[in-house]
Amino acid sequence: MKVTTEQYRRVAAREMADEYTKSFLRLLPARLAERRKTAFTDFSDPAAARAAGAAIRAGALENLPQLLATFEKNAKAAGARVFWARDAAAANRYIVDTARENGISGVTKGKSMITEELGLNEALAENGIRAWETDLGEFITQLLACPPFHIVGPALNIPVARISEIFLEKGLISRPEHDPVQLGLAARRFLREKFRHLEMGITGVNLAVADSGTLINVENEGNIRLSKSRPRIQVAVMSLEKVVADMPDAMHLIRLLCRSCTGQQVSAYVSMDTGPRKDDEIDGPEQLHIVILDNGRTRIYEDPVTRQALRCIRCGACLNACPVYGQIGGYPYGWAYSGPMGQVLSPLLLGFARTRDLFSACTLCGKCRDVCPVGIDHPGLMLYYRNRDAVGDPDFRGTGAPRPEKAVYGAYAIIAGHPLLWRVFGAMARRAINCYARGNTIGKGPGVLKGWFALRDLPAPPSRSFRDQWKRRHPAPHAARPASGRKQP
Amino acid sequence: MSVSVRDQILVRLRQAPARAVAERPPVALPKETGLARDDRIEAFCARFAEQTGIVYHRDPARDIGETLAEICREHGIIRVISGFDSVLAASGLPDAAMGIPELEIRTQAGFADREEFAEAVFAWADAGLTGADYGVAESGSLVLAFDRNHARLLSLAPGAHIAVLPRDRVVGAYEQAMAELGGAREKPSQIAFVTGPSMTADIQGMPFKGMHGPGKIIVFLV
Ligand code: SF4
Repeated sequence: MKVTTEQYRRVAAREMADEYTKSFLRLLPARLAERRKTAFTDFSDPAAARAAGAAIRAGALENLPQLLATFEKNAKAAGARVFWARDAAAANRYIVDTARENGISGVTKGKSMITEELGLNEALAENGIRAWETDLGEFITQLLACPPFHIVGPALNIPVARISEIFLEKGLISRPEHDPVQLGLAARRFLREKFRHLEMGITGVNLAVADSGTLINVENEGNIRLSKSRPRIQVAVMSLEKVVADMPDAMHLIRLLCRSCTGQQVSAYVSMDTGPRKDDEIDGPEQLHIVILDNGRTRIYEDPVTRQALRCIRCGACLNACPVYGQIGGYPYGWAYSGPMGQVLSPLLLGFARTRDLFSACTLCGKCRDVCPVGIDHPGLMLYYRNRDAVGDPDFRGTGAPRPEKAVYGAYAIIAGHPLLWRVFGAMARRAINCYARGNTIGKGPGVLKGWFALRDLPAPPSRSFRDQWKRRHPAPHAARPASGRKQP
Repeated sequence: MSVSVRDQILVRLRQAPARAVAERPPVALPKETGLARDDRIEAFCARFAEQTGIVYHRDPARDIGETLAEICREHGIIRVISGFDSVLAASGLPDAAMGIPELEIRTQAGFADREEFAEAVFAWADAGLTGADYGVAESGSLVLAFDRNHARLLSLAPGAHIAVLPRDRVVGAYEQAMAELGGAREKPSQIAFVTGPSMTADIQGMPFKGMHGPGKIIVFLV
């Protein structure tokens, strides 16, 4: 999938001007957020349930190397083949080779963010292998070649007329159809043929359980179960942080995931594979390939601050809570991961140079952190990124703050460090700023400050500083007053 | 010899600085684990019905095959493919079903290979008939453990799924069902939790059942 994170501002401006997107965003995130809240009331203590989720994921990350080794051992013992991929190219090559060796020309795919991160569909297409997205929303976005709007429903915002058009064009229906259910059923008929005949299924992984070597997928439509049950070959792609210690941990995370995601107690299907089918079974994959993907995650792991980003279970709750997402929708984020989840992950995976706007476009309100079921501190991370970027940390491909900005803050540091300079500068600045005051507010500023004032007002500073006013009211010299333990202002 | 990608990754992860982890607060299992048997079954049925699942109870005064015939009649099911898993076999249903004249029944064991079987579940059958290893009251879920007598596609490819669930197999929470299954000598290659019919709301948020899997799910409590 094409990365367009650099175009964040342009796309955000476009989306904010789009009446259709706006009307849509007025409804969707609020509705999902409400459903999530209701669903959490099943827990006897919702806060403890989330804290436990955070502890499970944090604990799993602290034991990551051991858990991965155990998972691999158990998955292999059950008959799975495990391939470790350093990056997207290696993962794609392995999957393409597996398809080739088995004479595969078409595959069915379950919805997975990770294969979008890999650009797997494109890699398969380059090698003459057709990949069919089979999740309804993902299928529609694939036909329309547009990015996902929301992690839960990638095509939720697409008008029926447009779906009807593309289905007509691709021959799924023979006359225009504006009923969502009929459109869904047309997709069912079309994809059923693919499920029936294609011999390779590719899915992502929601959780991997170390102590049994089990892969878990969560879904509502049944397309993932079909992709794992009908074909002879199954490929499961997991990023290396997906592993947890045992089944009870996994069960608790599933409860959190489904409630946070769609407000369901549990999705229609949770399927758990331990190895390929047994020889005497009449369906299920004869080969199960597990691709464990790094693609920059060991580096994210090495920094104890960014490590927490790897806790994410992709529930999407943070999207629905975010006031910025609520204005611009999923397209501006420009990649597989949108909303606060994307603002946290994409900069780490793609480097700061291409993603600066993502972590800048955050008000630090913390609503994402409040709903995250695994305790990720998104605002804290974004502040950290801004800092790493400003100092030009090469680990993050930070470029450093622009020169004028550096000069301004450098000068400021000197002034703020010298009381006399500070007083003189303060008096001058006060007078200069107040030239722009209208009544008690300042609504615009000169030059580079214009942009800042475009969306904000500043209360006009009083004509005298606090220190001045204090001196006038208490003319006695400070030294003569009894020490109150208070520092000089 | 060069170091494998696997080892490079694991070494880097091992060398990364450790971080203290906050202690895990105790989380109680769902309240359904504390229910008495009959209440648990009732909770299961209520949740299952919330998801538009349909529940039938065995009437001890009637022949089990008769009830199956009635279920099929009510839902327009004629062609059925049946598994032969231990739960289903113990219920006596496969044999009883053979005696129902208006049904066309085939058993999974009767198929020579996976192609023939797949063709039948996709194109021939109205419904798949299987046992359910457990019912879970916390969410009204069925737990299906697949093996040579219980194919995965039976509950997935046909338009309807009929599952036989013994009343004493209804547990409170997932953990209880998974602990039982995990203790088995031979681990199933796949286990699925099934909660209601296949569904989607991907077009305009309009929900509908039967997206890729069955649009109808029926549980027969015995
Ligand atoms: S970061 Fe967002 S998507 Fe990830 S677990 Fe937290 S709330 Fe869910």
